[in-house]
Amino acid sequence: MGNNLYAGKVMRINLSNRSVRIEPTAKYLEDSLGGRGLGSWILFREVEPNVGSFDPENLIIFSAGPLLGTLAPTACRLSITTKNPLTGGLCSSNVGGHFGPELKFAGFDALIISGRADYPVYLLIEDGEIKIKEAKHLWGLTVGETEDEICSQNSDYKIRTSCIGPAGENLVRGACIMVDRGRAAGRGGAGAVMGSKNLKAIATRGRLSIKPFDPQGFFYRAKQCREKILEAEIIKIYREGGSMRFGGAGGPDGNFPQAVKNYDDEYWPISKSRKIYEKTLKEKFEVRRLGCFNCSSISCSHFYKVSDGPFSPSAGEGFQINTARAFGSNLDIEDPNFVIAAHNFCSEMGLDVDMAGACLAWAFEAFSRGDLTFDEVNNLDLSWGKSHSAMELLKDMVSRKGFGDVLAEGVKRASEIVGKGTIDYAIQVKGADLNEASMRPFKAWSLGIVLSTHGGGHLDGSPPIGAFKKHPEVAKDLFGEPMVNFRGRYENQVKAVIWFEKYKAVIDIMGLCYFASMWLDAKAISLKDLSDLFEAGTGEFYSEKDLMSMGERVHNVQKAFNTIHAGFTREDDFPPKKLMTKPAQTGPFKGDVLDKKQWNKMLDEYYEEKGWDRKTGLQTEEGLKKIGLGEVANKLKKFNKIIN
Amino acid sequence: MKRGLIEVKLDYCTACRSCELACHFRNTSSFGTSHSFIDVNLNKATGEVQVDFLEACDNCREEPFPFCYDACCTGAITWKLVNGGK
Ligand code: SF4
Ligand code: SF4
Ligand code: SF4
Repeated sequence: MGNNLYAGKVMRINLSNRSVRIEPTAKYLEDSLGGRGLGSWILFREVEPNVGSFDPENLIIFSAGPLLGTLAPTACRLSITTKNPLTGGLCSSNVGGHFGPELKFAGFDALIISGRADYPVYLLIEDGEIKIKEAKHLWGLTVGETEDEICSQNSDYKIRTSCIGPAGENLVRGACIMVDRGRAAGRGGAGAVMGSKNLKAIATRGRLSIKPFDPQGFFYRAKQCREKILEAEIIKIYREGGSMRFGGAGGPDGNFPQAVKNYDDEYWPISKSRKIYEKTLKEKFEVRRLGCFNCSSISCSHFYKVSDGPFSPSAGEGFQINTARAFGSNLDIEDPNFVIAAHNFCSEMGLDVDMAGACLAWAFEAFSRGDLTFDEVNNLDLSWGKSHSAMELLKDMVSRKGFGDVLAEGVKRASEIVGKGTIDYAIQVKGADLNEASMRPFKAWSLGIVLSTHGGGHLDGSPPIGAFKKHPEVAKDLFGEPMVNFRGRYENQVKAVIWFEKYKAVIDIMGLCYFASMWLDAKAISLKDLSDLFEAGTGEFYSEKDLMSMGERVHNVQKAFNTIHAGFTREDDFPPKKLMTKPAQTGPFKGDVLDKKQWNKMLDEYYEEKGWDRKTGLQTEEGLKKIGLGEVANKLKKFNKIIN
Repeated sequence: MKRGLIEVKLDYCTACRSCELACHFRNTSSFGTSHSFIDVNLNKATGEVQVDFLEACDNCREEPFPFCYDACCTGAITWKLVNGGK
């Protein structure tokens, strides 16, 4: 394959001996076309299970896809792959902003970073060159301060950064990498891995160009995609009010499910949810809407500013639906000033909002049950609704002070430390803390969350809620079932989950955003569009089927990594206990619960459809060979983790 | 001579830089931002944006429409022909 649509180079950096090696990207494109695929394959091949997340031998890979940086709408999403400090399996994170495109314009499709620097450093990557620079003076700084300092030192305010805050430095297991100050590669603890490598930041500036094979053809196809996005009904909601307008704190009619008090319930009374609803925030706090690179057609981000009260001053972007849940409903806190300030605090400290919210909610519940007492939690009153205590506890988590040190380990480890049966209400899957809405009512959504190769979360197989409701014919055609992810339905949901696993892998391979894809709207960017864009961009044809097979392979490589490194089996593929034993208490979802028997049935169906083993949930030699993954089968065999 | 009137309403701008990418493409038939004649800057601490046209911008006079205007879907860039299409 030629270099059209690619920068053409991959850079390997070993921080231990400061060696740098440049390789052609083409070397890695046989297995997948880039992005999430490239990162997953390299990690699978090069990191062995005896390597811990924080060991120098662990890799952290930043990889762009072929469409990233192009005229294709939302062409900004960069994949970040490493070994996950929370789960011991895979971290497959993804981030927007402007850093990914800038990296490509600086001449690189991917960075593969290994080793550990002797003292804090940052990388400056500019137009094909790299400098490893000392960052002792940056250690301890917030994300914003770090970016400002790097730009000012290099006298260039167009430098884009990807950096960690104090949370990553302190190896908080849910620390994230912040891009362009306000965008998070949130899930999976990649920030802590950067911290373990003494790598404070990557700064990049690119003045080079990416060439398409057929410029006019690409321009025309990208324009068509943009028009589709502008016409798609559900995307319109995101354009107008972001994900918050869609379902944030109760959604437009207050009837959208919401995790409440560490998932004790799925419904927050409208009198509370309206205080953190998007339209309320817009009036009081919104400075402007923001978009990632080349996302004028959606621009879902909000820049909010808290100007008065005890949580002021606080300003920043990237507030999504999950923040309203993490720091609002799930802690029963109604004060929007706190919710926004807590979000901005996490951004500045480089802490994943979802992980932090889940830890706080678990601690609040433990306190309310008497499993943790005042003096055990840094003398804080962790009663539901206490915003000041929540803020203090966040700070303690970041600095690992007292009880904060326990929480910094994530809810699974924290509940093991505390004991007293607190694991029973730890909301996590495979060690990954969860901050997800709607898990009890929507079974396919939950299945996708629990089976995610990222550890746990909706950014893998989860279909959208009420998938393609307005276009049942599309759902029927793709999944053989028109009612996908409708409340209460367990039947015939598995095909859709598997379809989205592959399709979302393809989107991540290409470098676009899920919000512009069929994950939100049946009429958005389709596989055919991706195939057409890729063909115009490179002159090479990959059919829709080829792309989906690639997605399937990448998903299987990720699964195999988890099996080898973390030993997950069927037993790990269950939702948090509370969601299976305690039905929702009030509101429109009262009585909803995840039924274990039905769940088991879905699992049987799922493994069967994937060609995996029903009893153990492990991959099978036959299944893997059928999709051309003999190499993966061999490695699994070596570790005795495959079914013949 | 420039053709048409291009204006920017900063309140609508989301600092997405679709316009920079489109202008670079118009000038080079490739993807990047360094050869753009429109320049977008965001102050990430305050949320303020600034959009500037460089001297070299010719309002895309030989094109059917200004590329930056075409790429901007937020309504931040407006364009109208004046003086009978000039
Ligand atoms: S839709 Fe939102 S998250 Fe996706 S690229 Fe656009 S601004 Fe970024
Ligand atoms: S395309 Fe429009 S919204 Fe985006 S940066 Fe340019 S002017 Fe602003
Ligand atoms: S009018 Fe044309 S030349 Fe001027 S900034 Fe816009 S795209 Fe560039």
